[in-house]
Amino acid sequence: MEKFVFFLFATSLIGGGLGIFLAQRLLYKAFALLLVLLAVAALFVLLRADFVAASQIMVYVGGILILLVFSLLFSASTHQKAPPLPYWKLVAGLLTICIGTFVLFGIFNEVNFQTLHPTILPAETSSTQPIQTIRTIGITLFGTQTVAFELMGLFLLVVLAAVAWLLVEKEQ
Amino acid sequence: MLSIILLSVSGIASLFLGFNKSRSLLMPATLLFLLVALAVNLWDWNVPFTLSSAYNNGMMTVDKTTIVFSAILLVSALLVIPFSQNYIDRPQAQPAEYYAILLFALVGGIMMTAYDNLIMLFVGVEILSISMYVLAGSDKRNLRSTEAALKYFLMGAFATGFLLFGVALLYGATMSFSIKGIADYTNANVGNLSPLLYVGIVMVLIGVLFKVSAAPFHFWTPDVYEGSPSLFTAFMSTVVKTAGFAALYRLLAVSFTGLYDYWAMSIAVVALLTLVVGNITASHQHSFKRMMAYSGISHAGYLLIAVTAFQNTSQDAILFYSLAYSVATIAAFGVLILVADKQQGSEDFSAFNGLAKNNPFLAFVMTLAMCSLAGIPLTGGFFGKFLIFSSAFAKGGLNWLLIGAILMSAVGIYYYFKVVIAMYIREGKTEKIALTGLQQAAFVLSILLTLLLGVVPNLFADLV
Repeated sequence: MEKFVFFLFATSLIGGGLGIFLAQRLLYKAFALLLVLLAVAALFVLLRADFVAASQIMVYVGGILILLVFSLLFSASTHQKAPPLPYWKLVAGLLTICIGTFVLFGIFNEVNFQTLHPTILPAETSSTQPIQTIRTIGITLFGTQTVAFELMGLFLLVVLAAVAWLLVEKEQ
Repeated sequence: MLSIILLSVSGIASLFLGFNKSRSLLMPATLLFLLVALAVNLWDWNVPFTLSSAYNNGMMTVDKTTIVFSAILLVSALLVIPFSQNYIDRPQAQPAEYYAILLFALVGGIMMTAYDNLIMLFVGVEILSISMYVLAGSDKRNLRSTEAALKYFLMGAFATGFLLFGVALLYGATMSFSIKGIADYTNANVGNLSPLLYVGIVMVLIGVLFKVSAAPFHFWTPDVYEGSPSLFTAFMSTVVKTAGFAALYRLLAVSFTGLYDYWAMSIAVVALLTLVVGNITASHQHSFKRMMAYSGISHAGYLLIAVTAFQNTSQDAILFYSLAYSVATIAAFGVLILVADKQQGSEDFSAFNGLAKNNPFLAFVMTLAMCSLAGIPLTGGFFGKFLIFSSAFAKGGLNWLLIGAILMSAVGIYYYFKVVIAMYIREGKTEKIALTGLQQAAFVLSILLTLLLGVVPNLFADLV
């Protein structure tokens, strides 16, 4: 069952990659990108990384892709065709897709999905209980990683102050 | 650790000081914050190692090395701040924000010197870099400055991607973000290391080498250094470089000592390439500021020699060299800021023509800084180079690199003395430049430090 699901999403991932690459219209490229992002999220679920899967959908599909499609709708006609790619970019892109396909099918052949578990989980998570990575992440963030977490707050403050400084013109 | 908390709080405090109509309070307040942070930083000097890392879950270490590196960063900032006077006097300046961002940038720098965990390294690099992207573009009306900021941001984001990918691969191979955990893994699995580890090391090294502008990852440096306001170029070329080398050496020394044979040769090649590219290109620049950018690249090359040597003395050599380089660079940029202000913003060598006639003190400061950067005896730069070369010589097998480095320092003398010749021999007219008390103090302090490092190097070399 897991093998089948993996095969399904790996194939749609590769298909989406090819779609981004070969589609003529910009809007179709964006839809192919949607397929790629959703397939990646599904693969994360298969790896029992539910938090990463959720943030993948929220950040990339819900945020970045929507922005991308909006900017396409505002800036160009939806029928507009993408300029043809130069030769070396075509070769490089196809090569990347080949390597990705190779890796995915390597995983397909080698990995036993039934026994696949995240190795870093607290001992309290037994096999009968559903695995909750969010709980583990929360405990880690406010446990061992508190300093890093606080300093991420400082990082965001820097960004806020910087944006305010760059955008606001001083009144004369 | 305490200095990080203090700098974060004082950064927020200086944002609040910006509400005040009067700007005269900002600079003294920032200098005071920095002095207190320096004192607090030195306060931990005799704290035993175990105690200091216990209260942050092994995320950071406070020991003598990290304290000295942090002190170099703080002293560099202290020397840079007085030259912001001309900059904040402009009507469109918003000094509170930019002092706050400088203080926050130092937090990132100190994290990079003291991290024990790759997450802390990443967050530190990001805090420092984001601040620098913004400061590079702080001259909002100037196209060059905006271009510099955008270039730095795009290139920097690219390098950060490499760094983060490398960190993820290292974690995949070793199951640990802690640099000591990675060392445990490499020691326990000699001969059976995961291929992910090797790829991870290369990617992390690319990310960090980019930040210290080593060739072939240097191409952003000249445009960014030239386009940014000189004040922030001074900050960038000293604080970012020192923090970057502290981070690089810490990672290699703690985690990858056992893999010396794997990374040493590539770092050595990068060092030679950096020296050749930096020095040869610096020698035919017309703009003093652009020359300083290439000279900054070449100094990264000298520091990389110390990293390659990887002796007991290498760390002391890096510390000593970073201090000597930072002090001299800030003094040179200080003079440049004052001169360019009088010469309608011209930053070419010709702006310095005849400077010595009416401003003998400034000319003397610049000459001393150039001597130190070129490595002339009796200045700090000479002993910095001496310590680095002797550590590489003690390692053995690096003679080809040493010969290249010595040849390149001869090239360095040529372009550093172009500005000395312009100041003393060329005809030109620069009226007397008035210095504020703080600027005089910063110049005097940098002269004293340069001479002390050059005349009694043992005072500093045996410190750690």
